Amino acid sequence: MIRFIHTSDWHLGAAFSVLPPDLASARRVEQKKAIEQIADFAISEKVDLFLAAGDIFNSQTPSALDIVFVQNIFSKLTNSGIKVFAIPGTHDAYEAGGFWDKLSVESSASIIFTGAGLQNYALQDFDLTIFGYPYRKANHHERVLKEFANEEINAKNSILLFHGSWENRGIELTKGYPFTTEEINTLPFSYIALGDYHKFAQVGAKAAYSGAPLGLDFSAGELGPKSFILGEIENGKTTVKPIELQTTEFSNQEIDLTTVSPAQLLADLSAQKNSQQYLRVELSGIPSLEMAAFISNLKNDISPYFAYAEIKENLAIPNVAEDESTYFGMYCKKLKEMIAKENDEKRQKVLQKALVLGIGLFNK
Amino acid sequence: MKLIKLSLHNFRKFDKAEFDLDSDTVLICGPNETGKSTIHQGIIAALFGIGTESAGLLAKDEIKSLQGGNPAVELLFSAQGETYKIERDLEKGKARLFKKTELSDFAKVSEDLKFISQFILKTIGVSSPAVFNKTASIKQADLAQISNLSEIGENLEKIFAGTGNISLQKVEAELDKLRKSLRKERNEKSGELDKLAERKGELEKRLFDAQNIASESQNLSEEVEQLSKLVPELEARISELDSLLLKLQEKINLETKRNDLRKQWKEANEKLSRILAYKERKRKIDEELQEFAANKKTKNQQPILAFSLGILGFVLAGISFASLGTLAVLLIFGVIFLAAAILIYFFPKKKPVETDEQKNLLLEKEILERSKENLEEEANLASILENLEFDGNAQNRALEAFGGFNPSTEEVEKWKSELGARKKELAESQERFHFSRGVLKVEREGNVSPEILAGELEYLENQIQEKEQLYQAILVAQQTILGIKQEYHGQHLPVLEKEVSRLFSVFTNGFHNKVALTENWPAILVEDEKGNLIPEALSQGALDQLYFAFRLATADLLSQNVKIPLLLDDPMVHFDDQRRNQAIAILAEVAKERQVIYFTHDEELAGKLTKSIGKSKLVQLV
Repeated sequence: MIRFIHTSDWHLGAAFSVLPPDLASARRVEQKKAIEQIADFAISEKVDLFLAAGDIFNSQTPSALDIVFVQNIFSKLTNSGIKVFAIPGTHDAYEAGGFWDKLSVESSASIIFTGAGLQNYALQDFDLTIFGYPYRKANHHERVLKEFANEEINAKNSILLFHGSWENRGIELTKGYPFTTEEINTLPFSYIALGDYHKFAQVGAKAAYSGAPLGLDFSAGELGPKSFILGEIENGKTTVKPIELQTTEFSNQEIDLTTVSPAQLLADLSAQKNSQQYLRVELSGIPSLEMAAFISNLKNDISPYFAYAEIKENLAIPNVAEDESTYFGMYCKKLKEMIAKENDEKRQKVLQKALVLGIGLFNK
Repeated sequence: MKLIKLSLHNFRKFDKAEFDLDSDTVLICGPNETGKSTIHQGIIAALFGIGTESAGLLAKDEIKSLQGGNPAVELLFSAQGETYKIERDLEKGKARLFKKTELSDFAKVSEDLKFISQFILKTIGVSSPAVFNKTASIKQADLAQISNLSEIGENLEKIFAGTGNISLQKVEAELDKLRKSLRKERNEKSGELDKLAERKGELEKRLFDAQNIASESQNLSEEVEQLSKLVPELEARISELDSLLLKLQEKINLETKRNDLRKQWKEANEKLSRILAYKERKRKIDEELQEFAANKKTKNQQPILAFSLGILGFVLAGISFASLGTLAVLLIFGVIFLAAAILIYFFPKKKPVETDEQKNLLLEKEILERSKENLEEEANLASILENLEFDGNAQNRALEAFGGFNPSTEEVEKWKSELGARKKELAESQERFHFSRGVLKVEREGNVSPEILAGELEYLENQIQEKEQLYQAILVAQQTILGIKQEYHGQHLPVLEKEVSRLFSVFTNGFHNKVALTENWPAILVEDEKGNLIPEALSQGALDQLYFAFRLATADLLSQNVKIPLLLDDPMVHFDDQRRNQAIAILAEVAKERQVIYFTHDEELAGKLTKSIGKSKLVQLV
């Protein structure tokens, strides 16, 4: 039986620009800790292989410190008798003379596939051949994966490391070595260790995305808990198990304010209190006047309950009386007219903000 | 609009009570603590529900029943030709709105709180519960609070604002405070946007530096890489050139030595030749000196020799004659020998040396003999020469190893100049290598990654964008408010001025005929008896009357032509008899246009009101 850890998409050096600088910096520390956790887990589980399926770095020019960090992780693993295999991904695509060449030299005990085309490395002890297809900028729109369907494999077990996008996901279909589940299923390998998507997912019968160790921002694929894979191959058959990492999660919550009272909103949000969560609240619907006045301070109100909180307002114009008998009514009427007349979206947002601001101040 | 019937359940002091309000004027009369205010509150709660004080609503605590149980209210009212019923469960916060149909049954219109709230506001024509409270609902306390004219203006501004307790001035001040907190004007303190812009500038500079350092690091790293190859190459070339020149030097040394040997040999040889020449000379001198001596002897012996030869000739001639007998032979021999003798005798072979020459020779010989030591070196020199020849051969053999190594002078010069250049280059390269590697290390470890700084910048820019949007919104709000203030005043103040003047003139029985609002709003000027407009200091009673006039006028103004009921909570408590009578007269007028619900503890007043208003309903509380 061959046991392995499969991870990908570390994105070392990511700026985490959705977070304030101090939190972004803390996030980078957490990121390295999460990667160390994966390595420590691999060592404590005494697995045979450690597979890193691309996007280890966030860019093609990672910082020297990040490179050294990866060297140290790799050598820690190889020193514990674990065979390390890695490929470059979309963000850290291989470039001749780039840092990968140096890293390959410095981490000579690890196998980093950087050459052109499909490469392999035989591990006779395991009757296993590891294949790797490094990401190279030049030809990333090609459907390369299906070309491996007729690959001859002279070992009982085989693993392919591949960084590419699964079309069934329905997200951004054509970028980065696209493939379909059918294409995956026709491949002759025992297991395909995928990288690119940041959430754990099984693709067909014998491929899986391990997911990233932690989320990068508030976009859909980055939310919620993150994981890596502990897998086993026996007689050419693979089983995988996602192992969740305890890291601060990005979370996105949409709240329709139309029927919610301020007290209820605050109670709901504070009930979700979680210091291990970066929360983005997207407010939609038609706020009451009371709510419109209330949300201007909502961020401060809920910040203590989360690692970070931000409010995105995507609100419809509040239902306000447009009577001209009060300043407030007149103000609302004028602004609604201005909003209706305005064609520039950006300016419209400003006017809407002015309306909500006025509602807040008049109802203070 | 007219209120018809109010039912209260578990509402403060009322367990279960029903009040018929179906009249143009309703007098609710009873001593203190009999529930007048509770009925007033019940009407408000029925119309708008409960909530916060800031929204002009009652708090849940305020309406709690003394007996316990869920407080609930029900109000029947007519508006715009229709009859409605509103039920509210104040505990659960639920409400139901019904409309009377032709079948004289109530059909449910909605249970949606928001809809009901909007519907009520629209139906009674006010923009908020607060406005209703500030206009239609007049409490005794409202009047007593007014102590001068300017307070009336300020109060009205709050009413005009339309939402409760905030005036437009306050909104403007808040906006300016917000504006200041974002961006300064002239001498103000820096706002958030100013600081963010400053930070952005700094961050951009840091990013620029970091990018430079990163690209410099890249260059440095390439340079270090190159240098790390170049330095050993240079070192190898230098060592090659060094050994070439060393070899050349060795060859030159050997040649020099050989030449030395040759010179020594030549000198020794010359010396030896000289010594040999001396020897030869000396021998010659000796010879010559001997010759001198011999010459002397030869001269003395010449006649003897000639004579001897003559004799010998004769002897030989005699012998020959005797044997041969021929005289001729005798003669021939005799002549030959005679001639020989004569020749020998008379032919001196050498002239004898003169004495001076002889002296010189002797002198020279003496000199030569003095360098006798030189002469003795002869043997030494021979052995020296032999050694030199041996050494010379050894050098020649050593030089043979350099066979073919014959760099030309130009070649050697080239080597030397290259060596100099390479050594200089090496020194520079080594220095550069160590320096660059050091800088690279510091930069790599110290430089914040440009990617991270770019991320910080992105975050900052988003913040700026957000704040900038807010700032722009503030400017829009400020401008809009300036506009509506002018428009509002232009549109409403003249109307209000006319109505207030009319009411106040009636209240004061023509004492004050004009109240000026438009001159210097919110300052209010009142016409005195002489017809001058002055910021008159009015008595409390007159102030109350004026304020009452304002409230009535604004109720009309703000309810947009819907004649909302007036809920009057003993506003005339401070009026003197005369004024009270005038007020009653006004109320009678008002009651023609709208429903008046008058709460009072004063039964006498209630009686007077009933009398003067005519058609009215009295609810007596006990």
